[in-house]
Amino acid sequence: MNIPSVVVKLIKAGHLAPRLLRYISKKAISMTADLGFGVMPLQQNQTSWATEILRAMHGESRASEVRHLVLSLPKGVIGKEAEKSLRSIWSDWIKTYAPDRAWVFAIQHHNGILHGHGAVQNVGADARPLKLRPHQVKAMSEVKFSSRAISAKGIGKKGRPIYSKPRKKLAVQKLAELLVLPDGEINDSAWKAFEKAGIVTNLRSRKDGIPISFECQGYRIRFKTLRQFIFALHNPPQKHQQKDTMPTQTIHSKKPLSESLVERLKAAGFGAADLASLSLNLQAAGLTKPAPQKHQQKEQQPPIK
Amino acid sequence: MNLSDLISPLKRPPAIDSDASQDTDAKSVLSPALAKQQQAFLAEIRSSLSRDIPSHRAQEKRIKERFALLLNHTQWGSWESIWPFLDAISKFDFSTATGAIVLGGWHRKPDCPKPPCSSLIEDMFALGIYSSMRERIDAIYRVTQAEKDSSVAAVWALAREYSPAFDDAVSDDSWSIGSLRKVAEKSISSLVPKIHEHLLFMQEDALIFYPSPADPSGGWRDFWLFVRGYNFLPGSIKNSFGSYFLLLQIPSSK
Repeated sequence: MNIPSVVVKLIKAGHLAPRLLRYISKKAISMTADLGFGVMPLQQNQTSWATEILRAMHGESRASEVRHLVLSLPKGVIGKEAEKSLRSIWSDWIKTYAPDRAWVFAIQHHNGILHGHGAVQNVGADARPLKLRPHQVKAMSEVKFSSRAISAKGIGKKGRPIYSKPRKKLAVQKLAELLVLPDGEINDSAWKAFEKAGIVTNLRSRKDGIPISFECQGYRIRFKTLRQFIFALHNPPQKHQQKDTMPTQTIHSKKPLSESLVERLKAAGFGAADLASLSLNLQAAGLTKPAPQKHQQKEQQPPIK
Repeated sequence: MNLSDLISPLKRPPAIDSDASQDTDAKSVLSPALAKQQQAFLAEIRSSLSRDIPSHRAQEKRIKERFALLLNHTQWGSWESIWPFLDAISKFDFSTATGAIVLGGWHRKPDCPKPPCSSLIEDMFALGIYSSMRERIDAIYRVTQAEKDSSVAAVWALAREYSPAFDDAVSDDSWSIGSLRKVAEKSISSLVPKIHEHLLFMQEDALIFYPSPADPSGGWRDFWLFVRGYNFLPGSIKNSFGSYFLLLQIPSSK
């Protein structure tokens, strides 16, 4: 019997159970689940029920509601045997990494590739999210958790590294550090050197001489973007704000007042200025600390000499 | 004192945090120290307003000015600190006052303010009546013989004012203090769990009480009915309301 090769991807995203279940069940050719009552086949109309069980322990945790794992067989492998293989690989994965979690496993067929999508309950009865360490994820990609499959890395569609590494520094970010001074002004000497070397070309400026954008490696880049990078670099977001006696409740609302409420208040005699003031007060109520100062560079866009 | 008289003279009260009310960043750039100072200042006004009102005839202008400072500002505090202010509000006449009041504090992650459902207001209203009745009846046994008559009269006055609330349970016309207390006790015992359940499952993180064209004073009245009922809830329930935020907004055209 041939050992199937498989690509295992742990999708790194903050998943909401309803969205994921909807996605994986939409084109599923078969679904199985273990929702605390043993492994059983799952029907389409039972997904909402399964969704509730998957997020039952989530509470107010900041972790994602479900973890999403994709098992892909190389192109061309189809049939009942392949489905069985996916299920057995999935069963090994669950036993290895999330033995006490509820899950839903759906098999889909896309363009000749058979996928298995697993949605695993993230926060379990221990009230802790599933911890998958980088070395575990690496082992996962190498399919070390199962003796019933091998990694398909290099066979057919190449398996991608599944645990995202720290993001590489963007080229534009590097460029910003070289071209823009900490105070937001453009470094003339660096600019001239870059221009001379042909790295930056095609400068666009306003009529008053203030530069707007330039081209670099085929991309048009705005000076505003560079300044934003520099601003972010020198003003990192503060994770732990100082605790004050003020309550920490927030009204985090881009639209503090719903449209229907605005209509009703208007009918009751509240003018636009009143509503703006009310919205502003509500937004301010959500702040325990003053908002960071806006970048001062907007008004001072020095022209390149 | 009429609440609308109190509100109308200062349409845009002086803001202590910013002299430019239209500057959208003015409030957000308030430093924590200044914000703390502002809240302390507003808390002092809230607590003193109730004391000032009995002598309001002499100090009407001052009360107006001080009350106006409380408008259009988000105020923070504990339930204990809000009650003197609500007590002061109760002394005003709501009949012509227009305003929108936002009250929040039940949830850690408040969202857009939403109007409370009418059944909650009704239950709070009923709880306020029955609890007031119980308080007045209990007061009869605490006061001296000389004050007893006035206490009994207060009980009958409340019973007459809200007679439908007591008619349902007292079949005949022979009301007695004992039967009124029984009715009040019975009603409170059924209302409290109902309200508690309502508050526990309340999706609205912040409540907004606002008027309607047909009922211009609806905002203030509903707010008062809600907070009065809330104040009669047992401490175990009230304590879940750790700290509140309150915003009193009045239309500038008033």
